[in-house]
Amino acid sequence: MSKIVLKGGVIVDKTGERHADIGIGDDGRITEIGEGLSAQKTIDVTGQIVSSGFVDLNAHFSQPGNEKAETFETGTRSAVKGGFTAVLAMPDTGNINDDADTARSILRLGETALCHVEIAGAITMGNQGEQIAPLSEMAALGVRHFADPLIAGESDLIIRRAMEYSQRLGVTLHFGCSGGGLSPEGQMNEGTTSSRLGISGIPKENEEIEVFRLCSLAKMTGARVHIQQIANPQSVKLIAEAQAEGAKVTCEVSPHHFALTEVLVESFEARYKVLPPLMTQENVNEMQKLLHEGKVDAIATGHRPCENHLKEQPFQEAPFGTIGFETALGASITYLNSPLSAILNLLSWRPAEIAGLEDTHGGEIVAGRPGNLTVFDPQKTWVVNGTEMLSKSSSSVFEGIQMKGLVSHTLVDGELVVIDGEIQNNESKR
Amino acid sequence: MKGKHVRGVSDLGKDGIQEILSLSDHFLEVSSRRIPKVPALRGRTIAWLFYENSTRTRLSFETAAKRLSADSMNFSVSSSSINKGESLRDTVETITAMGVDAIVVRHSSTGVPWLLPKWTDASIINAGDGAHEHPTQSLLDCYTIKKQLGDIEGKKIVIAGDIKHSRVARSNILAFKAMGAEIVLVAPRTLLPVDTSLWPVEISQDLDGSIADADVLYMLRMQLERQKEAFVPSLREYTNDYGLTLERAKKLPKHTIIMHPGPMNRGVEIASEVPELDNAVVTNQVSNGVIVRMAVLYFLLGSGAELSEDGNSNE
Amino acid sequence: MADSERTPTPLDGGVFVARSEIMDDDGVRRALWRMSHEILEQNKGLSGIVLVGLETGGVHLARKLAINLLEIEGEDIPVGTLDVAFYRDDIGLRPVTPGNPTDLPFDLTSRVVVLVDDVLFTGRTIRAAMDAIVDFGRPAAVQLAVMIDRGHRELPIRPDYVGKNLPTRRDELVDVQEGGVWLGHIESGES
Repeated sequence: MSKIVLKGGVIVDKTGERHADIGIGDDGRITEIGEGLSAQKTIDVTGQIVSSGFVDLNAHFSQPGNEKAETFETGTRSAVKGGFTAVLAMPDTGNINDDADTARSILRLGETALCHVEIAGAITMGNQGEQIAPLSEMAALGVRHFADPLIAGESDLIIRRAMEYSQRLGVTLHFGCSGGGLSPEGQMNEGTTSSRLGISGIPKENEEIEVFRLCSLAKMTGARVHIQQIANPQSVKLIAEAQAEGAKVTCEVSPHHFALTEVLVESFEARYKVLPPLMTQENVNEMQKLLHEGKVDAIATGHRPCENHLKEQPFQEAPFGTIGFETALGASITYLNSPLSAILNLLSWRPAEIAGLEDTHGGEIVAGRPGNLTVFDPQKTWVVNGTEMLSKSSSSVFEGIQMKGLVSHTLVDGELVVIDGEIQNNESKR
Repeated sequence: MKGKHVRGVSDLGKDGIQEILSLSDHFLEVSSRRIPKVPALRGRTIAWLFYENSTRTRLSFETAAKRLSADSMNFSVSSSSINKGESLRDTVETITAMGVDAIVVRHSSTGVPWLLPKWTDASIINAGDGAHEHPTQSLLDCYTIKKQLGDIEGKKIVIAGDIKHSRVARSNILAFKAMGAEIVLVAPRTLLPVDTSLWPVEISQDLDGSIADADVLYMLRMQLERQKEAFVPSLREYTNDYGLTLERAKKLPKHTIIMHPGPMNRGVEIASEVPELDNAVVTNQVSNGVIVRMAVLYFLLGSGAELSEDGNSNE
Repeated sequence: MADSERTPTPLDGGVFVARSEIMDDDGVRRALWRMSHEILEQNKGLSGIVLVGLETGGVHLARKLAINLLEIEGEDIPVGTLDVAFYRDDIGLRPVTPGNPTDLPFDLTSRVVVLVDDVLFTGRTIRAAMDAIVDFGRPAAVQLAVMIDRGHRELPIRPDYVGKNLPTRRDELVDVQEGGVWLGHIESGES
C-alpha cells in the first residue's frame, strides 16, 4: 500500500514516456507504477510530467561565513521549489572548505537542507592555487568532489599535481574557467557592447585557453575532471575533442548562457553582472545548437546569491552572480528547442551520474528506486520575479522574463517537500 | 528634444545639442557683463555628487550655478561628506530628502547616472561615468568649435590618444557625428576599444597623415600609468608617434584649432609650448565650460523642458 | 512684450487668427512719429537718452524710434536690445526659450533708459526688464514706450509713451507687425 500516489501524469525517463500512476511507500521508495493506484495521499498530476529530481552540479551556499546572503536551509528551499532533489555545494562559502574540520562542520550544516546536499571541498588551500588541500582527509569523510572556481591564476604545475594526486581517491575535480588571464579587470564580455560602454571586458578566448589547458592536463593525467559554466561554444568543441581522445572530461552550461545576451548590460543593472559574463546573440544561438546536439553533459545553475543591497551598487562595484534554482527548468524549456528527454538528461540523468548519485537520483523510474521525483507542467507560463523567489537573494538575470515550464511538486526521499509550488515543512531532509 | 536629464549625448540628440548651443550664446553675453549673474534659477538647489575627485569640473559647474543664482550642496568625496560605507542609494535618498532640483554626478563606475532616477525625482546631469560619457564636455567642445570655425558640419576632426579609456572620446564621437562632422581616431591599437566596427569613424595609426587636412585636432590625456599596464612600451615612444610635438604643431594648416579636455600632461601627449600657440584654444574650452554648463542647468531647470505637454499657464 | 505673455501658448503650435485690424501701416507709422516727439518733449532733448528694445517685439520699434529721432534732432542715439527671459517670474512654470541674446554694449549709469515694447499687458515683462536693467548700471531714470496698452495690469507699472490704448478681453491676442496691428485669438494646432 502506497503512502503517496501521483495520479494521471506522464512519466519520462531514459526508457521513454508512459502514462501511469506512481506510488511511493513509507520507506521513501517507489512501490509501484501502474494504472488506477490509490493511497492515503493522492495528488492529481494530470497533464503534467513526472521525472526524476533535478541535480545541480554547481551551487553556492554562503554557510558558514556569510549567512546573510544564504544558508543551506534558504538555498535548498529555493532548490526544491525549482525541482532539484540534490545539489553539489561549492566550497567558497565565505570560509573556504579546504580542510577536514571545515568539511565536517559543513556536512553537519548540510543536514538542515531540504534536499540532498553533496559537499565539494577545495582543490587548493583557500582556492588560491598554490597548495593542494588535504584531499585524502576530506575524502575519508565522504567528500567525493573538489572544486576551484577560478583557475586562471593557477599554474599548470599545480593543476597537474592535483589531478595526479586525486586519481587514486576516485574523486572528481571541478574547475571554473573565469577570471584573470587576459583581462584582469573584466566586468562583462569583451566586444561591441563593452567597447561602446567603456567597460573593461573579458575576451571569450580567455575561456578557450583555460579549457584547452584543462583538457590537455586531464588527458595527460587521466584524472576525472568536470569543467564548470562554459559560455563559449568553442570550449564545447575542445571538450568534445578531448572526450573523443579518451579524456575523462565532462562539462556544464548555465541557463543564462543559452538564453540571454550582453545587451542586457546596457541597462547598467548589476543583476546582469555574472561570471562567465553574458555573451553575444551569435554565441547564445551556437550554444543552443550544441546543447540540442547533445554535446554538453549537464545544465548547472551556478546559483550564486548575495545580499540584495550589494546588487543595487554601480555595475563596476557590485559582486558577480545570479540566483538560478527556480528558473532552470523554465529557461531550458523556453530557450532550447529540444525534446523533454534531452532536457531531463541535462537537468537530471547525466548530472546525477557526474555527481556519483546515480543510485539515488536520476536513472530509471522503477519500483524500488528512491522517491526523488519532480512533477512539472511544461506548458505553464509565468513571469520571473526575483523578490518572490525563496532564496534570500532576489537578483536573477531572468528578472521580468516570461517563461514556459514550472515545477509543481517535488519529492525528496519519498517526502513531498513541495506541493503546488509551496514548501511543505521546515524539517530537514537528508 | 526636451527631457529631464543630461546623462549622455544620447539623451540629447541633435536637437538637444543645438538648443543648448543656442542657449549658450545667451550665457556668453551674461558672462561678459559687469555683473555676470541672472536670477533665472533662484530658489533652485543643485547637489554636487562627485565620487571622483575633480576640482576643475566641479568648480566649473559651481560657477555656472552661482551665475544663475541657484543654491548648491556639495557631496563630494573630497569634502568627506560621502560617508565611507554608505551605499549610493542611501546617499541619493538622503540628498533627495533635503530637497534638490538637480544632481550633478561623477563616478568611476559606468552607468551610475542611469541608476539614480530609481531613487530620486531630481534631474540628473552626468559629469563623467567611468569611461562611458561626459556630455557637458562634449557640449562645450562643440560650442568652442562653433565659435572658432563657424560651424561643425562637414569639418574633419581628428581625436588622438587613449580612446579606449576615454569618456570624453566616446561622448565627443556621438556629439560631433550628430552635428555632421567627419571623425578620425588616431591611436595605437592597444589604446583603441576592441570593437569599433560599428562606430561612425575612421581609424588610423598615422597621426602625421591624418592631421594634414584636419580642421580640429583634439588631443586626449595620456595617463602615466598606461606604460606600467603594458599598453605602450614607453611614454617616449608614445610621444614620438602619437604626441603633438612642437614640430607637428607647426606643420598644421593655419586654420586648424588644437583642443584638449584637460588636465594636460605637458611633454607627453602635448609639447610644453603648444598650448600657448595661437591656434590652441584650451583656455577657451575652459571658459566656454562655465557658459555651456549654465546653458545645461537652465535647459533642465528653467526652460520648461521638464514640463509635460500641458504646461500652459496664463499670464 | 515677451511672446508667451500675449496668451497661453499651446505647445502643439497654434496659429494666430486675426479678427479685426486695429491699426494699418500708416497708423503705426504716425503713432511712432508722435511718440518720438513726445520722447523729445518729455526729456527736453536727446541728451543722455538710450533706447532699449525688448526681445522680440520691441526691437524693431526701438530701431524705428531711433531713426525718427535722428531725422528730427539730427542726433544718433544708442540703441540696445534686452532679452528678459532669465528675469521672468514664471521660469519653470512654462517653457521659456529666449530670443536673441541681449546686446547692451554701453553703460547705463546716469542715462535715461527708454524701454520699448510692442504690447503692455500684465506688466510682468516690464518688471523683469527693470530687474535686468539694474544689473547693467544705475540709470538716472527708466521710461516706457509701448505701441499698444491692452490693460489687465497685475503690477503697478505704467507707460510713458503709448501708441494706442486698446481695451481687450484676457483671452484675446494683440499682434503688432510693421504692416499694422491686429486683434485676434490663437487657434490650437490640433484639428
